[in-house]
Amino acid sequence: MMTKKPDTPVAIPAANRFSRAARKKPILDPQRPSWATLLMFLLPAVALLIVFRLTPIGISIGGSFTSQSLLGETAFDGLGNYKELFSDPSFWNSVYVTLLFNVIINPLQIFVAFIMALLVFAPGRFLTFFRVSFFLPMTMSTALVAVMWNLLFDPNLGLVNSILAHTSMGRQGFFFDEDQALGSMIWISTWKGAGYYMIFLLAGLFRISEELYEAAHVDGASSWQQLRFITLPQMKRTFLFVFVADTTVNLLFFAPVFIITRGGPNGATDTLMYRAYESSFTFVDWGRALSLSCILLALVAIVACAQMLFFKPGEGE
Amino acid sequence: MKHIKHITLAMAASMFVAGAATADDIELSTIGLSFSDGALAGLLSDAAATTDGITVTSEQLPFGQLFSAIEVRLQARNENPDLFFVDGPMTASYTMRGHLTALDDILPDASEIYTSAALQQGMVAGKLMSVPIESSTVVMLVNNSLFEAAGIEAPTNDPADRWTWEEVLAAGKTISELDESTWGFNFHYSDSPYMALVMPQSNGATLIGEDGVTATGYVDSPKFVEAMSTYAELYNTGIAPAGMYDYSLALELFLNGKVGMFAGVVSDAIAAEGRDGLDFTVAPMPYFEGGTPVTPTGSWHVGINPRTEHPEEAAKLVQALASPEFISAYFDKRANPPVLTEAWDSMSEKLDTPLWTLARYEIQNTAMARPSIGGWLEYDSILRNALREIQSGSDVAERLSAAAVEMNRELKKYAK
Amino acid sequence: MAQVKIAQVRKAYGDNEVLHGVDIDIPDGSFTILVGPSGCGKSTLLRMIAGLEAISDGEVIIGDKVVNDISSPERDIAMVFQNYALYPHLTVAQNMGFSLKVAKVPKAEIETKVKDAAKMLGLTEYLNRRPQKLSGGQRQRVAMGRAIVRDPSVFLFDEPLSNLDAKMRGQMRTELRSMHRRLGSTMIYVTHDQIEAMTMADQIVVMNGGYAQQIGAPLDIYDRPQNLFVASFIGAPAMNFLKAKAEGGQVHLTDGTLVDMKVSDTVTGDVIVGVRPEHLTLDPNGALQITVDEVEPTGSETHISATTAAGIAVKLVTAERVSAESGAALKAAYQADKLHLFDAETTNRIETL
Repeated sequence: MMTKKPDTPVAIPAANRFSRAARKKPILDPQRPSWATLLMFLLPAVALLIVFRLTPIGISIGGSFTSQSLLGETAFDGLGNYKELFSDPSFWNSVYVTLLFNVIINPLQIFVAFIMALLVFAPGRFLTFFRVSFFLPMTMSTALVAVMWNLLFDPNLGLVNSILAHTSMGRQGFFFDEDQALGSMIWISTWKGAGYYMIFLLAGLFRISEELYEAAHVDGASSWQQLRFITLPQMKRTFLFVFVADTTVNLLFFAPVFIITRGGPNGATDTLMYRAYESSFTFVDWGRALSLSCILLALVAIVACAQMLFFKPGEGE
Repeated sequence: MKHIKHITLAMAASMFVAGAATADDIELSTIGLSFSDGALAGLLSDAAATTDGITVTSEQLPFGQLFSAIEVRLQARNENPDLFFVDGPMTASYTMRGHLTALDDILPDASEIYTSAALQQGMVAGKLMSVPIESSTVVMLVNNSLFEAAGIEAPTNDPADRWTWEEVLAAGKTISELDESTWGFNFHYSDSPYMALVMPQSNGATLIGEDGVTATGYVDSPKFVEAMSTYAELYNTGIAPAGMYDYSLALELFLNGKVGMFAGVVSDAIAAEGRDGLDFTVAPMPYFEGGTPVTPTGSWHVGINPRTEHPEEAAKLVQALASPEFISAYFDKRANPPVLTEAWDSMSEKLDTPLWTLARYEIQNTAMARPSIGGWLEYDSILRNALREIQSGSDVAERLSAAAVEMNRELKKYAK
Repeated sequence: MAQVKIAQVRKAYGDNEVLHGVDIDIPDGSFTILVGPSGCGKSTLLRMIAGLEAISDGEVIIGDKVVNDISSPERDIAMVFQNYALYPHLTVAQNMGFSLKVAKVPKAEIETKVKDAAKMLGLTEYLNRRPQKLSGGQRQRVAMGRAIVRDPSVFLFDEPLSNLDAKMRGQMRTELRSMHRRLGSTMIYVTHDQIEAMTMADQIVVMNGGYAQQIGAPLDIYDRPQNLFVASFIGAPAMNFLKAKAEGGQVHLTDGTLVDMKVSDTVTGDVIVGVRPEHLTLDPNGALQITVDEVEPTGSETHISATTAAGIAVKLVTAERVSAESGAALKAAYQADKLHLFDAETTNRIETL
C-alpha cells in the first residue's frame, strides 16, 4: 500500500514523479477514490435530494415572485405578493399565532417528553403501564387524534364537557373559545407528539454510561444533582436534535387546524401553514401561497440555525 | 372512517369500470361526489353505455374533499379530468378561470327541459356552462313528539301557514328547555352559507354588490346583520346546538328525537322516514315577518374541461346525462329534487307525497340560489368561518364586517 | 482512616447466590487486593463495600459502623472505576472538585484541595482540560485525584489499570504504591492480574467461585498456598502439578518415583505434588525424566515446556540460557524444600513434616 502512494518520494524515481504514468491511479484505489467513484455512490442520494427537495424549494421561491391571472397565466410580480402580505394585519396575526404556538409548545412538549422518558427509563412499578400509555398516542394518525379530541371537547356532546358540567368549572368552549383554542391545540399536539420525542430522549438517556451515575452517587450527588450535573449536560446533543426537529414540525402545524378550527375562532389558531393552505386551495392564490411557504421556510431555517448556535455542543458532549 | 370506505369503494368501482373497457373505446375521466357507497361510478357507466364507444373512470370524493381535489386538478391545466362535478354556485368561478366549456351547442333545448332554478345555476353571462343533474331544496322537519311534550302546536306543511323565525325562536326555546339534551332547532349544515344565507335573503338583504366583488356594505349591511342576529340567538341561547359541524352527527341528533325543528334537505326527510319511532312531519322553511319566504336551493352540475382531448365524446356523455333515464336512475340512488321539468310528471308516482309536494312548491315559488359570482369559493369559505364564530359567540356586526373586509381582499382578483 | 470488616457477606440475585459468606479483615491503612478470575465475585464484593450493590446477608463494617444501610456518600469511601467514569463535560478541575461541589463546600476550599491533589498527581497543567484530551494514564490520575480530594478513609479501586498498556501499568503500580504510603489510607483494590496483586498488596484475598480462598501477605500466599486453586492462580508461569500416592508417610509419583518429602502416616491415598517452575532445574542427576517440547527465552530467564515420563506437561523456569532442541530428553531436579502437597480429593494443602 505504502509503496503505491505517489507522495512517498523514496519509492518513486525523480524522473518518473511527474510523468503521467506515475500519477495515474487506479479507479478503485481504496485510499483515494476517484471522482467517478464518489459520484457513483453519491448520485442516487443527490438526485433524490434535487428532485424531491431542492427543485420544489426552487419552484416555491421562484413562484413566490409571480402572480397568476384568473386564466392561469403566470407573470412576474416582483415583491408584490410579499408587499401584500406584509400590509395585511391578518398575516401578522398568523405570524404571531405561529410564533406564540411554538414558543409555548416546543419547550412544553420536550419537557413533557423528558419527564416521560425519565419515568420510562428508571425501572419502577408501573413501567409497562407508562411505556404503553406514553407510546400509544404516537401511533395514531394526526387526523385521527384531531377528530378524537374534537369529539371529546365537543361543546354539546363531548365527554370532557359532560364531566366538567358537574364541576365548579362548568362547560368550556375549548376549540370554540377564542382564548382556549390555541391552548387546546397545544394540548392535543403535546398529547400526541410527546411520546415520539420521548423515544429520542430515551435513546439519549440509554447512551449515558451507568458508571457516571455510580461515580456521582459515590461522590455524594443526590438524584436531583445527578439529573442536573450528569443527565442534563450529557443530553445536550439529544436535546438539540429534538428541539430542532420539534420546532420544524410545529412551525408547520396544520392538520388539527384544518380539521377542527379552520384558523378560528377569530384567527386564534390561524397558523401560517393553514394560511398557506387556505391561500392555495380556497382562495386560489398560488403566488401568495408560495410566498407564505417561503416565509415559513425562512422561519424554519432561521430558528434551526439559531438553535444550533445557541446549543453549540462543547467538548465532551 | 366513512371517507376511507368511500374512497376505497370508489377505487374499486373505477377499476371495475376500467377493466370493462375494450381497446377501441374512448375512456373519459371524471371526478365527482361520493354518495350511496360510490353509486356515481355505476350511474355514469350506465349513462356511457347508452353512447357508442365511451367508457368512464370515476374518482369519487366526499363533499369535504371534493372542492380541493378538483381545484388541484384544474390548477394543473391539463386534459384531466374530462368531466367534473360542479357545485352550482361554483359555475361562475370555474368559468372565469377558464375551466368550463360552453354547452349551448351540445344541449340547444336546455332552457326547455330543465327547471329554471337548476338551470340558472349553470348559466354565466347567458351561456350554459354546466348541466344540472340534481337539485336540492330545504324543508323543516318537525318532531311532533317534542312539540307535544312542550304543549305547542307544530307547524303544518301548508306554505300558507309558514312560520316566522320569531315563532321558531319561541317554540324552540320551550322545546330546548324540556331536557338538557334536547334542542329546539338546528340547521343540518349549520355553518354552511347554503343554509344560513336564507336568513338574510328572507330579510331582504343583498348578499354581494352588483360587481360581484364588493362585500362591504352588503355582508355587513343592517338587514344582513339583523338576520344573522337571529341566527346568533338560535345558537347562543341553547335553542340550537352550537359547534356541531359534523353533519352526520347533526342529522343523527334529529333522527334520535333530540331536535324539535330541523332544517334539512329532502334526502334527510327520506332518511327520517326510515327511522322507527320517529314521529315527524315536514313544514316549509320559516321566514322573517315583513320579509319574503325564501328557501335555499342548490344543484350539482357537470361541466366539461375545455382542455379535454375528447370533446366529442364528452359532449355525448353530457347529452346522456340530460336524459330522463339517467335522471330517474340517479334519483333512485339519491332522492333529491329532479332537475328535468318533465321528470316531475313522469316520476309523479314517486313524487306524490306531502314531502315532494312541498318540495315542488318551494322549488317553483321560493327557491333562491346563491349569488353567481366568480369568487364564490372564497365568499363561501370566509362566510363559513364567520358563521362558526357567530355560533361560538362572536359579535355579529363586528364579525360580519371583518368577513366583508376579508371578502373584498380575496374577491378583488375577479374584478373586471 | 478506618479498618474494614467483611463478615459472612452474601450476595444473591434471586436464587442465584454469587458470594457465599465471605469473611475478610482489612486492617486500617492496609493495601488489600482482591484477586481472582473473572466471575469470582471480587468486583461484586467491592461494589457492596462501596454501596453500589445491596448486601443480601452478613455485614460490612467500615471503621466501627455497620454500613449495610448507609448510602455510599456517607460511607466515607471513594471509588476509582475501571473506565475512570470521568464526567466528560467537566474539566479536570471540575471533575476532581465534583464531590465537594455537590456537598456545597465553599469554592475557595475546593480550589485549594483540587490544586493540592493535582500537584501530587502531576496534573496541575491539565486542570482546565476536558478528559478526552488526556492520555489513559492522565485520566487514571484524574480519577484518583477525584478520590483523593474527598479525603476518604477507604479508597476502592475496581481494576483501575486494566485499560492501560503494559508499560503504563507498571508505572502506575509504582505511583499507586507511593500514593498509598503518602496518604496512609486503607485501600481496597480489585484486579484479575496476580502480578499486580503480588507487587502492590500488603494483603491479598484470593477469590474464586464466590469464596475467599485464602487471605494473607503476598509471599505467604506464594509460599504456602492453601489449596490447588490458590497454588495455580498465584505465580506465573503456574505451578506444576504431579499426581502421586501417599502411603506410610511416603509419597510416590504415579510412575513409582519416590518424592523427597515426608508426610504424616495418616495421609494416605491420592495426592498431588506441586512444584513451581522456578523450583525445577535442569540437572543431569535429577530424578525427573522430561522431554522438551518448547524453549522460550525471555532474555532474563528461559521458559521450558516439557513432558514427564508419565505424560504430564510441566514448565521450568531457569535463569540460565538453555539451547535444547524440541524432543530432547533431559533430566530435571526439584528443590525438595519448595514442594507443595495437596489432597487430590479436597484440593486442600497437606503440610509436610
